[in-house]
Amino acid sequence: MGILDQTLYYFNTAADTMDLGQHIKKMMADPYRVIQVQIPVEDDNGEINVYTGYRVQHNKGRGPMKGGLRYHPTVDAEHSASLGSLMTWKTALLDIPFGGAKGGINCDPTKMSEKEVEKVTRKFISSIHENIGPYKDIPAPDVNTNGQVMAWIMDEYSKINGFSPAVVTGKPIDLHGSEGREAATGRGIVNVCETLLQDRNLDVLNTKFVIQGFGNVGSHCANILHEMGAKVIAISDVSGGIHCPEGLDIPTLSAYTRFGGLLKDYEGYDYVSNEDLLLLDCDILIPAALGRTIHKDNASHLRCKMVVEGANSPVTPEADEILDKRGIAVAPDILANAGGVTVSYFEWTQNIQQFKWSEEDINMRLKLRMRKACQTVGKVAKKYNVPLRTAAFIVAIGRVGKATVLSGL
Amino acid sequence: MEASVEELKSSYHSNPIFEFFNQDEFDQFLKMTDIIIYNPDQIIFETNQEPNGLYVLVEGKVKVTQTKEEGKAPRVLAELEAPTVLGEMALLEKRNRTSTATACVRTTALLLGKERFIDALHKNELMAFKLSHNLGKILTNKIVAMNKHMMEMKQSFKEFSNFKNSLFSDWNF
Repeated sequence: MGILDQTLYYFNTAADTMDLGQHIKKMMADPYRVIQVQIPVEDDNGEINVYTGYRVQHNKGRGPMKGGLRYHPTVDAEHSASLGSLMTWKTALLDIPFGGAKGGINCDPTKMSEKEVEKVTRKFISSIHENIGPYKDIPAPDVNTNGQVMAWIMDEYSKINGFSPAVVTGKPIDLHGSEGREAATGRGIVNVCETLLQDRNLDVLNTKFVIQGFGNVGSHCANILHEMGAKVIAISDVSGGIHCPEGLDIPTLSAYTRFGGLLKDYEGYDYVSNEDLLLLDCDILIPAALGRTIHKDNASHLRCKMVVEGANSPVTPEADEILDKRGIAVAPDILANAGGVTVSYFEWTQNIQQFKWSEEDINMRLKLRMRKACQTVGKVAKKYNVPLRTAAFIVAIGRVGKATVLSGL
Repeated sequence: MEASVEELKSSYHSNPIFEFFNQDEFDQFLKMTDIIIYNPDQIIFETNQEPNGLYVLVEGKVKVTQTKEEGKAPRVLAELEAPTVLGEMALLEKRNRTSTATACVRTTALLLGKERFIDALHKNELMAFKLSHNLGKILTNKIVAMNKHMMEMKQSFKEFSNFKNSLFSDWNF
């Protein structure tokens, strides 16, 4: 099963548990609007390149649509539709008053100058400005886009519509961005881990964590766990990983990688490959790197008690089934890595209020939302005797359904 | 005579209204009908008009519409393409037309007036009885299709009603 089919597969599993009919399923699964625009731009050499921009607005039942913009040659309408639907379920699960959307441009910014990326961004926004807005659709950073791209989007949209910082989130802190946004996904994962452990009468301090991926998500997650006194026994980056059963010195490793150091070259800990890292004996495994790293061939060999999905779709549906049969709980991505979109919501709220919240305030609010969502998923999983992922989708579908029905079909 | 009517002479068996007809009966039917050619967007008959007879579409395409509320855009009930029949109820009862039929493209139709049909029945013409049988069959097929559609609609209503009830009870998170 391809990564694009996975969201629909999980949606259908939950919809079948809820005994939804074909008409309702179609109404909830199909996107609301698919936008495709042509973006012709002149590059630095004076040549014309024609890119295609997409924005798939999946569902607006619960509020303005929300989701990332990615710049990658593989971006297309189908890709955006699948990821847009995931945003609908994610925002609903966290009880954020947003719908879901996703989009991007089929360009490769790694082969473009900053000026070219800016041109493409501005041209794209001038083409879709009528369909986005603080109360319509609010883009955010995704693969190959960042705070700078969001700043250009805000500027281009504001040229047409007047000062509109709330049109986009993930902006730099100095340009109406939010405190705590960078660490939000990692912090949200930690909040989920804490709640899952508490539900099982366990303690973070006596828990051994393994984290695959030491980028923005993995490193923040590891640092926060380390600050809390938890034992992170293994981490990895693209080069491989390091392992120490007594716990790693995460702050030192963060400083090391920040200056370009590769973990495989770090001396003082045992080397472990990315594949073997997943099989280490631990309490919680956090795959926070790529999708589909836990699959049918390695799921039977995992030695963790729980998996918390930091990345999008790190566990394949086949592996999900194996882990469920083995009694290994999987906190799904739509719950575990929803910290980012939650703080995006806080950024939007601050922008429309023209008021800035402190980092402590944001972290506290994030914790409350993540904890509440996690507890609700846990209760629903028990009530229907289903895995956490199916429960998460049931909660999300129920909330989107209610908003749709109350608004009137 | 229109080329499409000439073609119909050799292929009339494919039109359900001519089932069981032999060549003589078909020729007799042709003599009883008027050939009418409609231009695109020309109205064939309108809602509330007195029924004038049955139309056999020989060539072209017709849109059947109904306006439920005045001032609102008409709803398209069907788009019929030749070979088929249109307005068959007019032969069987006195009720005024319940919909409007408009040619979508240049359309050729054979109009069988109600009086001519009744007259043929009174004369015990076998062709008229065959026509009655075929009309009954066409209407039966329409009723079967309508029943199926109703069942689907009922299922959809039930599905939505169950969904709505569950949202505010079982799935109220």
